[in-house]
Amino acid sequence: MLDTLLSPKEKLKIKIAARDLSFFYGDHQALFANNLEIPENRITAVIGPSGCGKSTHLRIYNRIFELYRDQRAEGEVLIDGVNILDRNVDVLELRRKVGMIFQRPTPFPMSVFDNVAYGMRLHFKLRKSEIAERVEGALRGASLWEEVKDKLNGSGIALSGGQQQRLCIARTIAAEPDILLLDEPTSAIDPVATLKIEELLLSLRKRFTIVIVTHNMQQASRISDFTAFFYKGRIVEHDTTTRIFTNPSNKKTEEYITGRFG
Amino acid sequence: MKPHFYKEIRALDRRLYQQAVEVEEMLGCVVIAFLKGDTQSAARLIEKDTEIDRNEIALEEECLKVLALYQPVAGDLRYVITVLKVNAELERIGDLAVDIAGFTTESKPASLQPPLPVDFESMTGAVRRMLDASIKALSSHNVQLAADVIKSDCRIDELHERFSSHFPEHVRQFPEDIAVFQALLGVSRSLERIADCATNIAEDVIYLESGRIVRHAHGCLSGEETPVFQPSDPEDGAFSVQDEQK
Repeated sequence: MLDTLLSPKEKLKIKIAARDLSFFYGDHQALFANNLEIPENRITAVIGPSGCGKSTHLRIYNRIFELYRDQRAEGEVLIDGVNILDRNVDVLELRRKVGMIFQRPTPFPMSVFDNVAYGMRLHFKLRKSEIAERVEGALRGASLWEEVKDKLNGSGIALSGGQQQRLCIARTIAAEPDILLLDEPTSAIDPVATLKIEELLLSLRKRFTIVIVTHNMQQASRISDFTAFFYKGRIVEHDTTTRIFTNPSNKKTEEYITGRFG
Repeated sequence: MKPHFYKEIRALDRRLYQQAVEVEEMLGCVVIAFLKGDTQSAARLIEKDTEIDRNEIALEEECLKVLALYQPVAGDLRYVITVLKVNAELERIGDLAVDIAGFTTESKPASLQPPLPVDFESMTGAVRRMLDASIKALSSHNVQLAADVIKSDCRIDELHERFSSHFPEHVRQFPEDIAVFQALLGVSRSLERIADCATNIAEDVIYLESGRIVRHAHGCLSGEETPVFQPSDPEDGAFSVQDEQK
């Protein structure tokens, strides 16, 4: 499907492919046999009104929904060609490979250093010096190093909201994932901190495949390469972000992004 | 819903059509003044352009305000961009009308020795109808009418070319006509450019409605090739303008 969205010169590798993906909260069906292809090293924005299923869709990619009772996904999610909904998939390894950042910053009640080191200690056996090296690398990668290098032993919770969110991004990328899932990562922080996160995501695009759920239309149009519009559990339109925001092909998409509903 | 945004959009709409009405009126009066050799009226009309320039800037500032405050997307974005572009075209038409006023002398075009290659009054009528149709296409979101305007432009180009190529032969036969014919040629050039502006507005209508940029790609327009605003028989020089599509 993605091939039809791209110019002939732009052949992108598909990192994630959802096939006939449905989702249920108990008896309630929230997603309906959706198909979506997410290209590698690009930012894909997922937009739609509240309750349309965009966060639900995102939460399937690292099977985080399995932490809750009575929730189940049907269909397939292929990451690098492997169906991650298969029972044999190592979920811990999946969640390392597919990192997630949430709406509200979730720093652990420990030092800045330990917040970042936490994930890598969980996944890798490393010497102290290697951990210190990787912590610095992750903090630099999250554009936070210069602001915290002199207070690595200070509490992560003492940082500002925007810094806490970048700390969470540092903690996630320290585990060396392939994919970053972000569920409204800037809705709880101020506009300046938001711009820093957006700049950060644009720089991280070279290393990671990024999927971001956002209610902020301007954010989706500023930073994403592709946009998928969800409505009532279905993907209404998936196209290049430029096309979605200048000339969407579906009337419902147009009505949503121009603020006529939602 | 965004009631404030739509209020702003309606205000843009009103200003744009007001400007279009004033430009069309000015063009109509300028052409009449030229044909009558009425230099006093022509001079008065040149002052009208100052008001058109002022309106253009005010409308552009309103568009920039809407873009900055509301960051419209999709159809709303295309609308504001279209208003900006049509606004610029209307201002340009105002300038071209000033050029026509500048060509007005007491020697009337009717004093030229026949035969002329084109009935000049009919040419001005056709260009004015093209402009009117492009504004109607904009206000009624009528893509077909916009496409008709675009198709008509080549015929106005032909008429202007016919005037230009007739010039050396005419002044050789009637050297006393040279000043009036030169003025007529200048007006013909201005009319040809006004037709281009009307065509640009029509292209903007197609962009507004479909998101397609058809500039430089008129071959892709569907429909029959016959222009709507054309002389009935290009060969005999008679220029009877067809009734505009109602």
